[in-house]
Amino acid sequence: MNLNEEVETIRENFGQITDELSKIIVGQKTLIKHLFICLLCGGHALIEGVPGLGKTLIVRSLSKILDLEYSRIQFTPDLMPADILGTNMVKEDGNGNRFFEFYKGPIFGQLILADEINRASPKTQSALLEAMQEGKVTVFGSQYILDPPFMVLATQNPIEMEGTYPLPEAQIDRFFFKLKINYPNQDELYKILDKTTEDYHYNLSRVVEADTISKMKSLVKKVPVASHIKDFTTRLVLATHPANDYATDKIKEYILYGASPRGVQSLILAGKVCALINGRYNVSLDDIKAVAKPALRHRMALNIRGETEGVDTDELVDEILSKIEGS
Amino acid sequence: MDVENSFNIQIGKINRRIVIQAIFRVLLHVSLIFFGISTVFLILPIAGFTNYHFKGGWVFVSIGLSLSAALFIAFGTRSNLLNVFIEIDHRLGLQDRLSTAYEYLKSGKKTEFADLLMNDAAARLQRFSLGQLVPARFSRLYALAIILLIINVLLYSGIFPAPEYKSTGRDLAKIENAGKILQKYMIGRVDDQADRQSKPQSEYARKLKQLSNRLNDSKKPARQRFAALKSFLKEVQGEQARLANELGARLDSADIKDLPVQKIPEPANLSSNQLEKLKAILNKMLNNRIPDSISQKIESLRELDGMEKLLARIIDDLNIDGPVADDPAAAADTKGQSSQSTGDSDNPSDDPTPANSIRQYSDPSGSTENRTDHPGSAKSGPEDDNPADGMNEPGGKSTSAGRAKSNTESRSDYQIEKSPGAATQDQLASARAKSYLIHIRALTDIGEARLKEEEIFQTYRGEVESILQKEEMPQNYREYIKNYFISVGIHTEDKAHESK
Repeated sequence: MNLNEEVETIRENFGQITDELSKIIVGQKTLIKHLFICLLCGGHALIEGVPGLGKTLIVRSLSKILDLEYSRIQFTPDLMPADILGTNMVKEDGNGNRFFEFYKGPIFGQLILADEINRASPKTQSALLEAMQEGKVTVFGSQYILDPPFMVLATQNPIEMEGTYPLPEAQIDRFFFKLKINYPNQDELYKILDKTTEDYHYNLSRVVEADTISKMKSLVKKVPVASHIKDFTTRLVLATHPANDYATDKIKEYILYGASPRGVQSLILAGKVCALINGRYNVSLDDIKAVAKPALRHRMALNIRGETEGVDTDELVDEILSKIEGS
Repeated sequence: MDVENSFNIQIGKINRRIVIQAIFRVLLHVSLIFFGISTVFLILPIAGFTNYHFKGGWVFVSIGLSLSAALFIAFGTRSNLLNVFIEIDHRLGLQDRLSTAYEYLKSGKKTEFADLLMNDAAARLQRFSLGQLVPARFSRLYALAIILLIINVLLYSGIFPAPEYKSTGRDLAKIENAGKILQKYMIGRVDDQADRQSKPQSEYARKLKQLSNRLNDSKKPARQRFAALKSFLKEVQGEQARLANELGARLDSADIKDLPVQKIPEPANLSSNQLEKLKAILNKMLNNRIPDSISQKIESLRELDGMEKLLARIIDDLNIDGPVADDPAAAADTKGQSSQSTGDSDNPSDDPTPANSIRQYSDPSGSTENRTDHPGSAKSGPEDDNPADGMNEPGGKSTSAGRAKSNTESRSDYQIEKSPGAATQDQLASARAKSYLIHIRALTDIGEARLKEEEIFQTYRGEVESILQKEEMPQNYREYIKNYFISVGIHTEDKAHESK
């Protein structure tokens, strides 16, 4: 398979995934696209939305389509890290000899649904850090490699704040994208009604295998990026820093600190997948702009004033984009 | 490799068009700067700020400067080819295909996507025409260049007149009127010459006639006619200065070191007839004493002086905002001032000529003192009658070239040209000669005499008595004049005794 065919395969796979998901998911095309981007970039996504919008359904459906080992962790306040990672259990063989055997936790999967991740304590949330960043787990001094592709899709409810623990900044930064699920419009609600309240049967087929995903991931990194695109991206990230010259007045006023280098990596990698999905062999400014919000919105920490005034980081990203593009 | 060549061909086409546009931009800047400079240099003389004319070597210097500046601008504002491709990408919605492919082509970065990238970019480029890729943009600078070009063409063709020609209708009439004045003057001269029948028409009279014809020639533009008028005035002034120099030299060679100072008796005590007769007698005596060579020079000088005055008056009439010093009324005022300034040798600023050369002619007191130092020449005084009286100077005007007010704020061209720098030599020469005329006519004004009053009157009385003894004075006036001087002298001597 030559390079052009590989690129075409990516486009086809994306189309197939979208088509399969559309059997059960109404609308949310952008969300699906961003999830696919996360998958090909080897990143993790934090999905935020009010209850009832299909967060869990999307992830579960995706796991079926992708032919990945699916695992779900329901985060609760009493959830412990061992409940996620696994633990050593004392076992006894037939001769009466006792030994420790490691029982893998739910983290040992390929597509992990961390449902309502903000309901667990920070200690438990942090149990995901090593797994998300390095794709391995260390338990009692023993390291366990997670099977690729490893992808965590966490959900959280922005409304119910009681009994929740905000994600630590280190944890948040490890999410490649923060995706928002919006309310469906009237047409979409009609379709939702048709698919859920009537005798609607669907059968999700597995369209992409794990090996294919790995090949696609390796191809993504080869996509060329022009220097002026990189320049634009770095300026974009620097503009999220309130002390930087590129920062806008609102950034200086409402932002405590801006995006880390992971933000630039996310932008470029996501831009590459965008380009491939669009049938291009290069990253364009439009690709970067398209992924700027999901890549940066959770990496910009609001200060007290921003929190109290309810500033939306998406608006700040829009402002930065307009300023950087004009300069 | 084929993909790379195909992409290179497309890039080459764009590059050539960019180079051509850059050349056009350089030419635009060259024309803008050059036309800007030439407009300024053409407008300045018209506006009257300078007499410099934009031609010759300065044109080439300006072109060189414009070219250098345009190249400097072109190099300073030239954009990287990559930036041009980025702009094309954004303008034509190529999603950075072209710029990325070009960057990878030029930088030689290794990527498996290189061929796909260039092939894709080349395919996209082929969808657009060269004009779409690098469109020719009409800048406002082009409009400005065209406007400047039109202005320059109009300025070169002389359609924009000088300020003094702005109200062309009225001033054309003035020029034609000047031609008529010159014609009348010529007719008067011809009549005068016919009366004399002795001297051939001078070269300047002939030129004056030509000038008159040119001024009356309505086919020629007013600017040319005015230039001819000024040119002739310059020529007359130059010749006047030359003759004055020559006259001074001849007077020196004739050992006429000094001319006696005379003061015309109080005219209130003489009737006009008496004065006219006295003047005629003195003229006759003086003409008899002046050598022919000198008298011819004086005659030429007088003729040129008359021409100069006439031309100056015409030019002043033509100048809308010009000085009024040479107007007939103003000239009458300045007549006395010029006589005073000529006679006032104590003020160096009024007398720019060297003291040794001018003082003995222009300073009345000095010359009177000299006369007293040289009794011989004083005795010849009665015979050295006033030659200027025979020049028919109206109202006894000074004919000095610099007779206008020295501190006049605004001057006409011919005045400005005469006053500074090199014109000083002309002024020296003409002032020397004119000082003779002034001496002969009226040396001092009231209160300006440096000699004792009784000495002057004694001299006058002696001179008048000598005239009376020659019995050329009518009998009935003899006693009258004699009694006048005797009474004045007695009165003065009584005053002197009283003061003692």
